[in-house]
Amino acid sequence: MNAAVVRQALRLSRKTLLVAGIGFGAFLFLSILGSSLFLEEITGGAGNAEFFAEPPRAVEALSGASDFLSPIGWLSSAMNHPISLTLQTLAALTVAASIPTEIERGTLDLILARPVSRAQYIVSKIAAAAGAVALVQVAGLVAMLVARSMLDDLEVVSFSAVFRLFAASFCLFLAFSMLSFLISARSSLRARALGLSVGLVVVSFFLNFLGLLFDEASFLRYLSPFHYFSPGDHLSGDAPWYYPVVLLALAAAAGAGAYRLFSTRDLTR
Amino acid sequence: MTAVVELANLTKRFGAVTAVDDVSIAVDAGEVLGYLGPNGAGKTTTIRCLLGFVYPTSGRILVFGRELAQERERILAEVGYLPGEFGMWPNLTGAEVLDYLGSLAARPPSRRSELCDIFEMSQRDLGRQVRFYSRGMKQKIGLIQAFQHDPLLVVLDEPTEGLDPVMHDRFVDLLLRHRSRGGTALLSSHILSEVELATDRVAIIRRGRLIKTGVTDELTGQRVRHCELELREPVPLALTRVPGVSNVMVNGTRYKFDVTGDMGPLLRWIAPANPVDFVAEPVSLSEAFFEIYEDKAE
Repeated sequence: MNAAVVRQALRLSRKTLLVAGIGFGAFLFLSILGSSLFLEEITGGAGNAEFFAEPPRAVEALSGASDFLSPIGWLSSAMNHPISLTLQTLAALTVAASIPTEIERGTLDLILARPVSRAQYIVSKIAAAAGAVALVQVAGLVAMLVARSMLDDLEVVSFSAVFRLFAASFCLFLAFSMLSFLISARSSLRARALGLSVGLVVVSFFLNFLGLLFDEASFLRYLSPFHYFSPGDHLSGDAPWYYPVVLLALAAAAGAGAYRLFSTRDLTR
Repeated sequence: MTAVVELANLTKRFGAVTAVDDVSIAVDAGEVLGYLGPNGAGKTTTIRCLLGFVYPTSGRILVFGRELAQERERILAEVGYLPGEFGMWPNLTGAEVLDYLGSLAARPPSRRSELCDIFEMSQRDLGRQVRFYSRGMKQKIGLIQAFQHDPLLVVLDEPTEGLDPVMHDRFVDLLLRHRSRGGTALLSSHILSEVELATDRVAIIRRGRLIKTGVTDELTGQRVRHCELELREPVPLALTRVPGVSNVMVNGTRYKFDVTGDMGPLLRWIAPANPVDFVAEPVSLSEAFFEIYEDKAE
C-alpha cells in the first residue's frame, strides 16, 4: 500500500464524501425525528394505525420495515430509504470510479511511471474506498446516536444494536464498492464504469425487492447483496450471523478479482 | 558501452493489430536516442511497453541491465517520464501536482527549483490550479516532474508540444546538459528539428517495424545538400560532371544544385572557377526522414 496514493484518493473525493456523509447523517436524523412526530399523530388517532402496523407486502418489501410504529421500523425504513441508499452508494463508488478516471485523464501514467506497482496502486485505492465507506457510516452512526439521545422512544434500541446496524451497512456498501472496483479495474472509461456500477446496485435492489414481493421469485433475493442487509433484524439481534460474513466474502472476492484484472491488463485508453 | 535500454525482438499485438513488430533497439549510457515515426507507427506503444503499462506479446525489455518484467519498480526509481498526452488533476495547483508526484518517486525532487527557474514557473504560477493553465504551462509542469528527481534515464514522448520557441530552446539545453552529466534519454518526437539538435542517434519506425537506425549526423550528412553557387563568369556544363552533383539549374552565373555524399570533389572544382558566393545547406532531418520513409513505402 502507498500512503500518498491513499491520501490523494481521499483528497480528490473529499467533496463528494462530505456531501454524502453530511447528507446521510442529516437525512437519518430528520427521518427519525419525522417518524417520531408521525407516531404521535397515528397513536393520537390522526391516521390509519392498522395500515402502519401491518403495511402491505409491497410497501414492506420496498421499505425493508415490517411496521412503522416501532422505533426499529422507523430506523429500518430510514436506512432503506432511496435517499440513504443513494448517498451511501455515492460514497461507495466514488473512489472505485477514480481508476478509469485516472486512465481517461492520463494521470495514471504519471503515477505508474514511478516506483509504484499496480498492486500497490489498487490496494491503496481499495483502502481509500473502505475508508470512504466507513466515513459515511460513521456520519450515519453519529446522527443516529444524537437522535437516540434526544428522543425517549429510541431508548428501546440499544447502543450495541445501533453499532451492529452500521457495521452491517458498512459490509453491504464495502461489497458494492469492491464490485465497482471489479468493473473499474477492467474499464478505461469513467462514465461506463460508473454507469455499470450504479446499474449493479439498482439491479441488486430490485432482485431483493422482487424476491420479497413474489413467493415464486423468492430465490432471486439470495442473489442480491441487499438480502444480507436487513436493518430490522440487525437492530433486533435476529439477523443470521452469516449475513455480514457473506457480504465480507463477496467484498474480498470482488477486491481480489479487481486486483487480478488490474494487474494483468494493458493500460490503454 | 553498457546499454541502458535494450529492447530485443519486442512485439506487441492488440488482437489482430500488430502495433510493434519485432523491434530491437539499444540506447547506450549517456546517449540521446530520437525515436521517429508518423502517427500510429508504434512509438507510443513501444514506450508504454518500456514502462510496463502494456505487456509485450513477445520479446525482452532490459533497463539498466535488469529485466523489466521482474524489477519494474526498481528500474522506475531511476526513470523520468513525460507522456505524449497527459492530464493532471484539475483541482490541484501546479505545486501540489509536483509535490504528489515527488512523493511517489524514490528520490527527493532535488532539481525542482532549478527547473522552475529554467522554465520560468514562478511561485504564483505554481500556486494556481492546473485547470487554469495554458497548454504550454501544463507542458512545463510535465517536463519539471520528469526531471525533478534527477533520473538517470528520461523517456520523453513529444516533449515540446505547446512550448514557445524560447522554452523549446531551453528544453534542448536541458536535454543536452542531462546527456553531458551522463544521463540517457529516449526522445519520441515528430518535431524533427528538435530531434536533430538533441539526439545522437535516431531510430525510425513505420507500421510497427523499425526501418532505420543510425547516427543523426550521418543520417543527415550522407544525404543531399542543397547548394547555391555564384561565379564571376559562366562555366558551360562542367558542373554536371562533378561526382555527386545533380539537379543542376543555371541562371546566368548563378547555379543551384544538389550534392550527395562527399563535398571534396565539388570544392576542388569550385576553387579555380572564380566563385563570388557559395552556400551549402545541410539537408534537414525532416527531409532525410521523409526520404527514408518514402523509400520504404515504395
